Amino acid sequence: MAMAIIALTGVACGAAPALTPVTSEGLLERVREFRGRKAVVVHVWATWCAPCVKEFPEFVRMAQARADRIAVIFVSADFPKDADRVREFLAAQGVTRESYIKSESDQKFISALSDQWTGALPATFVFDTSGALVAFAEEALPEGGVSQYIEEVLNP
Amino acid sequence: MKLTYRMGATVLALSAAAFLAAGPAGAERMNKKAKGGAKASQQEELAIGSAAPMADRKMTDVSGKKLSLKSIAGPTGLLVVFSCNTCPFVLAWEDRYAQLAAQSAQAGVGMVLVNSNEGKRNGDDSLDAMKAHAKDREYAVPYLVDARSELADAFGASRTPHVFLFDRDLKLVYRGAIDDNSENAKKVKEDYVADAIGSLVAGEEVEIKTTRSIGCSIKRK
Repeated sequence: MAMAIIALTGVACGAAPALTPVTSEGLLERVREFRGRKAVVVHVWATWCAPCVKEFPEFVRMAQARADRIAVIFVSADFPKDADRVREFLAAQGVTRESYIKSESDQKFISALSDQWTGALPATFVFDTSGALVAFAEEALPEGGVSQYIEEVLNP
Repeated sequence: MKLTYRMGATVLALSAAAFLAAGPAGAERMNKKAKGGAKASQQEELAIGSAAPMADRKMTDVSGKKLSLKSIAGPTGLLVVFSCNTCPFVLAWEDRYAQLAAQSAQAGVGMVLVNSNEGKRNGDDSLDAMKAHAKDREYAVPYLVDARSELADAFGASRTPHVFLFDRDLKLVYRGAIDDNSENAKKVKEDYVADAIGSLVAGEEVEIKTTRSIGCSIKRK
């Protein structure tokens, strides 16, 4: 049973996750791959971002609980030289599914994701099953309200 | 239906229609509407051409003086940098603050650093911590406390560092990042603020008026 849950959600404790450099183009392609199957939450965070670190476990729990309907893609905005720290954090949080680290200029990455995102972290983008961006949140979501927010924006 | 709202400093932007047929970058700006008791007002970034808000408001500097933006502005303009003591992106860009201060002074642009992190005012961003940081980093420009984050709210400043450059009439001519590479000054290709200041000095229109960069969110209360 435990193995089944891990396979479904990509969440488990201690295992080292893959961390792949990603551009906005690659990221949006990943989002499009889920079209017709799942809604997608793209969460941009960083290990140095205190609000990100604080709310991260909520996203992990949400990814686990809604894995049948929602894919959560974590994108670290840490500097590439800090990739090991990112991996350690992800492992400690129990994320085992492939995760990403931003690998292009801020301006290009930010602009491609939303014309409203100024670049502040954390940033959360919610795409529905058609691949449409239906919600964007800059800064942390209300404490304890991540799942509720995601459900609310996916089912307005 | 489209919906945008802010909870605290969180912008929630919702839209229900075809948004990502070719990626979200092409989406129109979303309408704003309050929902679930959230504040209806969204603090959008100050528009290019806008007058410097709260220019007469006096704020406490690390020197102990009370200074206003108007008193800091130079004959050519005013450079406002929302900053803080601990954000890694500030620390990464901070090695360029001194150069920017020197360039601003030479150009007749008054430069000021503003700390709006009211949420950390009892800790990392206390006035004492600001004084220590300014001394440690040898700041050559004022470093002001933005009580209740009111200046940040008025500017629509979202992150640190977040830069706003005004001309001699205190009209906004540039907002965004210092340059295009926070991590490495030697790899900068686009020196946004320096170029904009150069345009001000030359009496020319600033070419790149807005940019965006990853940064730490301003910690409002």
